[in-house]
Amino acid sequence: MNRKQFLRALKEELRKRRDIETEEVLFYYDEMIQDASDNGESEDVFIMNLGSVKDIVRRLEDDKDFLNEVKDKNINVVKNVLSTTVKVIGYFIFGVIAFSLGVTCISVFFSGVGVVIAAIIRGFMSTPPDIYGYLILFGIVLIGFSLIILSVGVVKWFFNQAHPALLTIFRSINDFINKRGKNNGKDV
Amino acid sequence: MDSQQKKGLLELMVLASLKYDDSYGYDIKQNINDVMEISESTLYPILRRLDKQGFLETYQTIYNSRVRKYYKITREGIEKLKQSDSDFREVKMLYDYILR
Repeated sequence: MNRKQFLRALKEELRKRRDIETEEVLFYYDEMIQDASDNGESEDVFIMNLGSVKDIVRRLEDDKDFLNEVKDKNINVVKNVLSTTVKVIGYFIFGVIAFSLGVTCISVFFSGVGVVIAAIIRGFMSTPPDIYGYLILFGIVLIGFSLIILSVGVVKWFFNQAHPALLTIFRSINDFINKRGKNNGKDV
Repeated sequence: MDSQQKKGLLELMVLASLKYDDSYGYDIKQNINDVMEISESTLYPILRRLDKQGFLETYQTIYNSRVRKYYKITREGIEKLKQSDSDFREVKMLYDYILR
């Protein structure tokens, strides 16, 4: 059996097991055979010593860690389906909360700005009767500023809290794209 | 040697063969064969497992106008080898008792 025949037979045998990364295994044996013949070994003898393709595939199946991983993979498929639904609902709720919080913060921010501007304009336009009038204006300006700081603070806090969630969203999109790429590669 | 014992040691042997230099499948096999017999189909699952566990990483280079996969030991792999040193002392103590 020469290299090409061996690889074809191995590919055929691997095809029966969809959970083994065919390309990786083929690449490994292809490289091994070529390196052996580059090193002066007889290709036929080397391939004969590799044993039957059935044995090679059985060996891969027998690998305990390998089998465990396949089991994990199956469990993961179920987990992924479940977690995707949960995630979608989670992201939706997250979006609603983020949106309402954002709108509230923006309105608080602008009312703060409005109060400050109104107080300043009022202070300049009208002649306040006495020191108490100034104090009241000063108080209103302070309230305005605290509203601004409060809204900015809430937005900042929210983004800090949301940071991991945003990262997770980004990562899952990234993984999804990567997975698609890999699957496409396998199909070809 | 007992095959179960051999199996555990082979992982360490593969890591140890990459301790000083990156290498490729055939070369790793030849190196280990000097000390302990290992077949291609035994080596593959070990390389794969060590790679998945992060003890080694792979990269590809062009050799003789074909792609060759090289294996490189990671920091975690070096740590695992160091760990085997203390394991060895423990096993040696047991064997000192067995063979006394």
